Amino acid sequence: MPGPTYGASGLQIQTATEIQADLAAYLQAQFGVSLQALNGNAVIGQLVSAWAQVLVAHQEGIDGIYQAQHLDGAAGVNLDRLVQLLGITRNAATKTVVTVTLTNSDAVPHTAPLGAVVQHLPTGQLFGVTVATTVGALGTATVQVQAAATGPIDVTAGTSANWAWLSSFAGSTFLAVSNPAAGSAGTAEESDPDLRVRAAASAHLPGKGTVGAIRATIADLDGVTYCQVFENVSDFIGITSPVVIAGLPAHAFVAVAVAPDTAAERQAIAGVIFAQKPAGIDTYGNKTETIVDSQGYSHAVKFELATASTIFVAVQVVGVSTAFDTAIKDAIIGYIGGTQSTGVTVAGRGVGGTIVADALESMIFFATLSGGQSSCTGIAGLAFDTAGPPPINVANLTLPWNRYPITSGANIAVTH
Amino acid sequence: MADLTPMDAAAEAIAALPGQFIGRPHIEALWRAMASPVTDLEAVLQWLQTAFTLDAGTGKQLDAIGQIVGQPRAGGPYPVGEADADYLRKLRAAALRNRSMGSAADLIAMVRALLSTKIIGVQVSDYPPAGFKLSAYVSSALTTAEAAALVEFCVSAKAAGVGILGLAWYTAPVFGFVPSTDPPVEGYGDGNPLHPGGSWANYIYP
Repeated sequence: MPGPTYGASGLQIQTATEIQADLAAYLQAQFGVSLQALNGNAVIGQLVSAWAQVLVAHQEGIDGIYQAQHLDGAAGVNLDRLVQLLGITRNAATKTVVTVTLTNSDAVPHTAPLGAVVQHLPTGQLFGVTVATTVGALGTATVQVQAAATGPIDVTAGTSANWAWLSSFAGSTFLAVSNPAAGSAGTAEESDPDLRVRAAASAHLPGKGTVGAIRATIADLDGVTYCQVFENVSDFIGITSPVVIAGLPAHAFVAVAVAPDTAAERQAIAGVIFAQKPAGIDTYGNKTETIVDSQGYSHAVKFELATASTIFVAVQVVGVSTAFDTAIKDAIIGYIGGTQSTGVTVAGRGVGGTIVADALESMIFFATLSGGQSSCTGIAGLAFDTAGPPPINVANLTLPWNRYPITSGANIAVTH
Repeated sequence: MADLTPMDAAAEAIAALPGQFIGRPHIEALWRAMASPVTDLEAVLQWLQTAFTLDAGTGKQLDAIGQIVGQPRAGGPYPVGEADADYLRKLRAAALRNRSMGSAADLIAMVRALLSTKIIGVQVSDYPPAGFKLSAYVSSALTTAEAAALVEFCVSAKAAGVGILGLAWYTAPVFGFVPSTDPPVEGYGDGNPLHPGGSWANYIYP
């Protein structure tokens, strides 16, 4: 049968050559023996060729619609639309926020107005004052400043030498800016691969009280990048499968989340756990929040905030130029977890994840693809460990149930 | 938006020709040939309209639905894994599992969908504290794969922290004191009418 093929094996669209062959067959069916003459007709030949190009474009369009129905085939806005079926949306990029101290060197009060722009000199990034703040004579005050741009900005603790007002206002020459603590880094917009991972974990979102529903609801919270739920269905304390959690009470569960340890985030997590958990079932974990129910009674809700384990990686590649170093590091970060050079934050292996040596090697080979072939001819050495640098371990590495791996370009050594 | 209706692209194309070309056999033949691939595309669009539905989907399209409801085809994607008919029952059950709140009613509905070709009745009994037993009454023995799926789905659909103290299937009929059709139970008064008293009477007075 002419045209694209479709059915249980999916949709296979045609090439321009195949479409031209179909058109030739249709013409032969209409004109019979005179087809040879038609083929010799330059006008008909050009018509067939032009029409085939139009049909190719239409078939590609239909294929795009077909692929957009697949979680692993849809991308960008099509993926956004598909995950709506699961009740989730792509996490937007967030801005870095820093709590700064304003020190007034003048004998009269001065006010930093809302929106006043201050530059963080080490990164060159601009921040705006979020609340108009008055600082008394020779006094200090704290205020949050928010980055103008979205995405992660690495603001380490620093003195007034790191900050300079760009806005000119009455007190700008007297109010020195410093940040005693590091900033809370923003995040890039959720990437397609991360959204697919979250979508896969969100199938149970419409449910309530099940392990899958609890996990999906927590994972859907802003700020949560990963969640896992373990339960104890027995009448005895502790479980040994699928992970060992010695203290998990009988008929209880523990939700392990990767999320910022802020009061708002903890309340949000505890709130959805309380809304989800079956009555009479206990919760467990290293964080306890109080949730007040609709009758005014307080409940202690527990959960675990996972701790990051920095992974140090050392790899010696063969046959690869140093031009691939960044790509190799990004590939390793993409597998383990962390923020890549492009600013994209990747969840990676997740809580209690296993780092598999063979998989890591494969990522490195893929990262050095050039012209369809890996320029890496071998890996002379590969070690990764929570201790280092340098890391010693070369075997697969499994983290405890409440820890997740993270790495960065600075913790990855690529040698040649 | 209206449903797609089948169209004869060639006929429509010819009907749209300017009057002076209508009835010209070569022009009409050329037009018919050029419009035929449009009919082919129309057929694809017709198929696409229902390809990703549980009622009409097959093969790879069911795999795509499985990605969304979180239920991959056992044994691997089409054409390697389980048959469409078996997979379809799991997809329907997965949709119910995903919405489960762990209640007995949720579990019963899900098990009925999962074992739809064999199921006769489902019984859920509470065993405090925080436990239950589920019995599925089926018309014929479950396969190993069906039994495994029953366990997997019930574990996913129950409430967190609640224990499954028993998960069993029985081929009907089952004897009990009170006759019932759901689940099928033969009681004192049912069975062979030649022996008033039913199965129990048959047992005592064969």
